[in-house]
Amino acid sequence: MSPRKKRILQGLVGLIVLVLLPALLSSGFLVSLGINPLFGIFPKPAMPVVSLTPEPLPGLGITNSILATLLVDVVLLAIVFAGTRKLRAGSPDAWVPTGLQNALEAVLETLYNLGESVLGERTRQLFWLGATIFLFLLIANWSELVPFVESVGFIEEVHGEDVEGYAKSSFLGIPAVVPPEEDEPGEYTLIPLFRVPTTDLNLPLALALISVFMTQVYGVRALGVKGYLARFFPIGSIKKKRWMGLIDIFVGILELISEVAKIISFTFRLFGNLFAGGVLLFVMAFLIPLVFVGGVVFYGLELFVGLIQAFIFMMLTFAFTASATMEHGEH
Amino acid sequence: MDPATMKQLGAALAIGLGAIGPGLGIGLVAYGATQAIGRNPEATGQVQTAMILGLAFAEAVAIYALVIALLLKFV
Repeated sequence: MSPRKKRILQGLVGLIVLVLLPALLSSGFLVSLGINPLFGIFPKPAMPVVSLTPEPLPGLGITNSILATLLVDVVLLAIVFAGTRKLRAGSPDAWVPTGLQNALEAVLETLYNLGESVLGERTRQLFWLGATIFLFLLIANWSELVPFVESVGFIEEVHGEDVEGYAKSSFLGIPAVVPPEEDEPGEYTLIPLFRVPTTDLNLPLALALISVFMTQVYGVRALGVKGYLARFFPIGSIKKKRWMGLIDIFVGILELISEVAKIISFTFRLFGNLFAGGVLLFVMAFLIPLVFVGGVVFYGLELFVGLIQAFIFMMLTFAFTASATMEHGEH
Repeated sequence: MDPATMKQLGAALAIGLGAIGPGLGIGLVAYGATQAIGRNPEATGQVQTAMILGLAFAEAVAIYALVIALLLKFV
């Protein structure tokens, strides 16, 4: 087989394994095939559980999003440790990178060049914050696309009048939730074992707080406490410019408000994009038969959105830290 | 109308009206970016970076509206 044909074949296999297969496994494809509980083997897929707040896992005490965050950490560390094995051993082979080390170096170099375009001379100092946030968010956002996340978990009884529950059934011996019967309200609900970490509001909030706090720290380090506070309370400008100094005071107040607004906007941009995207993906997969094709399209959209949101968080962190360390007149 | 109906209506209106402004905004960002690239193809990289940044800010406002709609629907 010619090398070109081999490449095309490899690409096709990769496409099937990495994109189509997970999309197939996570879609309601079985229903579209017409296989339903009439055969007693495959139960009818129920609409996925969508809840705004993460639920604590029964018996463990931590929420499922914390467990998923730990898993994302482990995956990230595993990738990095595997990729830098030769480098840490100090072997001269590492000078010409191959395989995973090559890929990691390429990613890091791309990020560094992007950082350099925004940060300029302060890149060495400020790069680590945005890059760490980017790598963590990338894996966390893309964990949504792995099969069985948010669909495998514990089946719990739910109490309360207004709650829409499911009925319990079993699928090849594994208990599963199915849509409730016509008259009886369902009594069970599914608590997923892993939940996409970014869909827990706490994680975007924590990252936003870290990012904005570090911006203040870098600003104070670069300009000194007085110099940095002059950005928010430009008292010297009243002496210099008299009446026009009032505008500077007003701008200072606006800067203060905008720091708070940055935290809120960071949080909700990340959370909203990922939560809405997740709901979209899960609902689209289970909505109607033959939406398997549509499921693949939304899968691609979620891949893109996860990447873009991580990228944007990184770029905004760079931009804000760079502007905080600049002298007041410089722009 | 009872509160449950109003909730549903509110959720629909929140995202429906809330997406008008950002939709226009994103179109304007793309307009500016394509014009800039057309005039100066060498600066495509920088223009693209600025465009992505502008898109993020515009999209964020739509996401705020979406979060309200989701809150109304699921909480």
